[in-house]
Amino acid sequence: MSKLFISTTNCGKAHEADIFGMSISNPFTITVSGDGALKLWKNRLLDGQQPKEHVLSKFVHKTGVHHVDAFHSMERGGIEVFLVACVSFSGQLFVYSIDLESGAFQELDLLTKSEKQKSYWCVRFFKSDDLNVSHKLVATDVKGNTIVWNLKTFKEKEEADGQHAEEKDIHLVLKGEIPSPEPNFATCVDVSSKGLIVTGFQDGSVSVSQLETLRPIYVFEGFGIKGTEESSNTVRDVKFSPLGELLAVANDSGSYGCVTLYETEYGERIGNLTVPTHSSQANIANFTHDGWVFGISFNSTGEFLATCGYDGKIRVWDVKQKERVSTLNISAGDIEIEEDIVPKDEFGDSLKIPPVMGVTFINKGVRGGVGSDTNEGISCICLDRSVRWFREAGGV
Amino acid sequence: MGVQANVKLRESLHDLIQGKQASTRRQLTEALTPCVREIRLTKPDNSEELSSEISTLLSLMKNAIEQHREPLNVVLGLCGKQVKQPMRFPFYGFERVTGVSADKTAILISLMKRVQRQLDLKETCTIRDVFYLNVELYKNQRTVTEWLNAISKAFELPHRDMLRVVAAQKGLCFTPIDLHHGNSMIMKRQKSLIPFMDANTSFTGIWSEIDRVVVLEKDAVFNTLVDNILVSANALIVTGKGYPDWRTRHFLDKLMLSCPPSVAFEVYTDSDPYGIDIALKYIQNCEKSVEKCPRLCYKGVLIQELLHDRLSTRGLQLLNLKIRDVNFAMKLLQRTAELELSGKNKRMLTQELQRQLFYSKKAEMNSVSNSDFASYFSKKNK
Repeated sequence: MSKLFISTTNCGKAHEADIFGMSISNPFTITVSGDGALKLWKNRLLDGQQPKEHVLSKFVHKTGVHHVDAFHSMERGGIEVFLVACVSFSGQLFVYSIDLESGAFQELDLLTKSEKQKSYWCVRFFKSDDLNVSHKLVATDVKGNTIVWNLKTFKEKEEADGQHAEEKDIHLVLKGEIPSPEPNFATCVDVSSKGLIVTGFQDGSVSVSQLETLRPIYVFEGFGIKGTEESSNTVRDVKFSPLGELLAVANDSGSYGCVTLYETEYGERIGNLTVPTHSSQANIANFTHDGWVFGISFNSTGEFLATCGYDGKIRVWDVKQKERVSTLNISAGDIEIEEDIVPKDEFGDSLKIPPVMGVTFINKGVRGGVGSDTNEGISCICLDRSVRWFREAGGV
Repeated sequence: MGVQANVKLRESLHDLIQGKQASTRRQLTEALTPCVREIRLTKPDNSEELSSEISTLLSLMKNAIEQHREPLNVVLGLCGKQVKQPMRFPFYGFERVTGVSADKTAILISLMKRVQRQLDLKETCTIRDVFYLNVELYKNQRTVTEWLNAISKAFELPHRDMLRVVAAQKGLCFTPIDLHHGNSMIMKRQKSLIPFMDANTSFTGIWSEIDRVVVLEKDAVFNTLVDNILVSANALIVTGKGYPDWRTRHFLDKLMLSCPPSVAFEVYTDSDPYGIDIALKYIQNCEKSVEKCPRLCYKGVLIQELLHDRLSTRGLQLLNLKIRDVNFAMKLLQRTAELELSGKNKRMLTQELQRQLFYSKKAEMNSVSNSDFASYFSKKNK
């Protein structure tokens, strides 16, 4: 069974420098870049509307911004909360509250003085659907620690008559820290709906801990080429499936990229996602992409996984069969507006086949346009400074 | 004999014991305390007369000890602007030895003698040479540098090199044309040390035969490029061997002023945060304007060139960034963001640092193109 994705919208020169991170929420596709800006691209575009005409932009930090995540929730009493967290290359963590009516950004000062001194790297929100479990904000630092906060949206004060005052007040309560046994750059993190938290490290190891107790339960080692110090097996992305049954890990295997699936109940490895190769040279390692895999994303049902790589390709996999069902080849030339095509950068580096730095599935009904209500989509960011949106073909 | 009668002799120990002069302990102490001669190193009236100033100071010291038997109190710099703690030599007094030890005075005097000799001969020698003349006294080379700095500060000299004892040249250069400066020259097609220069030095030569000035971080790569005739035929190649010394930077600044604008200035370093820092050191520094070269253009080696490199075993030459590297890169990025850099440099350096951090990888410049830097270089400049 193969799937076909067609391009719906794209936007070249979306940022002035490399785009390093993306996240998708209901109202916006969010990107961050080395130019220091955070951009929120409106999802529900009408026919003929250009992404660049409907974007909210906020300058965050002059050293550039690399990881971003969004939190969108309807809280008690119909209070809508929309937060965006991002990390700058200077290691600072920024959280913004965005007013969806006016599009105004408000920078929130949530961290304590000592928390601000850490050098953060990756950040992720966890939205809890259980009223008794609070939302979470999770961040890793460059020394390998994973820091977990409870994200509270209301003021915690009881009125004299014993009733809760329902006043919106976003604040963090530190839950704890999962320390790294040895200094090791923590590159990525994710939280599952089953109460697990996973951190990926530069040296190829992946550690899974319980969210409630912050105790580590499993450590997985990479399955890439081993033996030489020079051979990279850095973990680039980790993702839990929507129901939390599976864990997907993207790590380097030398210059190739691998994606491995684990089952989370017993910590068993299920298998790798591999492209069939007919080359006699490649049989030492089965790889997912002919280049590092920078991003992975499950669809809403957990049946499919999208992966993207330095080879300028996006692949969609059937998780159950571990089979590739679609490959999207990205080329710099397919940007709609010709003057926004960046075939090479200012320094003469060719971007004809731009590495794909991030990918996410788009749920049904998130994007505007024909077929978006019935079909899922995919969005990606590429090194040619573009953002692209695709939709599954058929059923329109 | 009559003459002798007029000379008032100092009290002998015998007189003192007899208590003729000093009846109390305090008086005895005072009587035993010698006169001290204060020698002060300050700005000479005319910096041309540095040599005679030093020789006066040295003879004053010599006379004090040899003829007047007076201990010295050597002070560097004017009151309120003293460079070092005053030094008493030889030590006297009743309390235990405190303050600066005597070998410091010995170092100072021996360096002053050396400087005077260099000034008289109008010759330049290196700090290393001076150090090896008396290893036992100086103990390490840094001491020599430190005291030369102190002397230069005390005399309020505009530049330490005026003492004619200078830092050893670290940098190397290779030029395809003869470069004349003053009454000396850098021979063509020879690896030479960066020459000594002063504020007025300028270089002349047949510039039309030079396309570019190439600055390299590593001397291994320098040797590769020099040996490659295609590259070295029309490129002036310079290396500072890692972090550059001031002289190499000064040399580049001089070249920049002497070269016509058609000559391109390029810098190649390792693809790691320190490489970026080294490139920045050449291009920009806030302290001395004569020792920077904003015309230099950062060219690589870029991390993505190593990633895209189809010739070599891809990816295998990349190393993980250590925590130290990551912290250094983050700080450097912040510093770079504050800097005013000309041309594409700022963007380029920022982008490289961001990518190194995001990929969490670094690489050495030697490993590019299957460890053939010359072919990488030729390809890049095709």
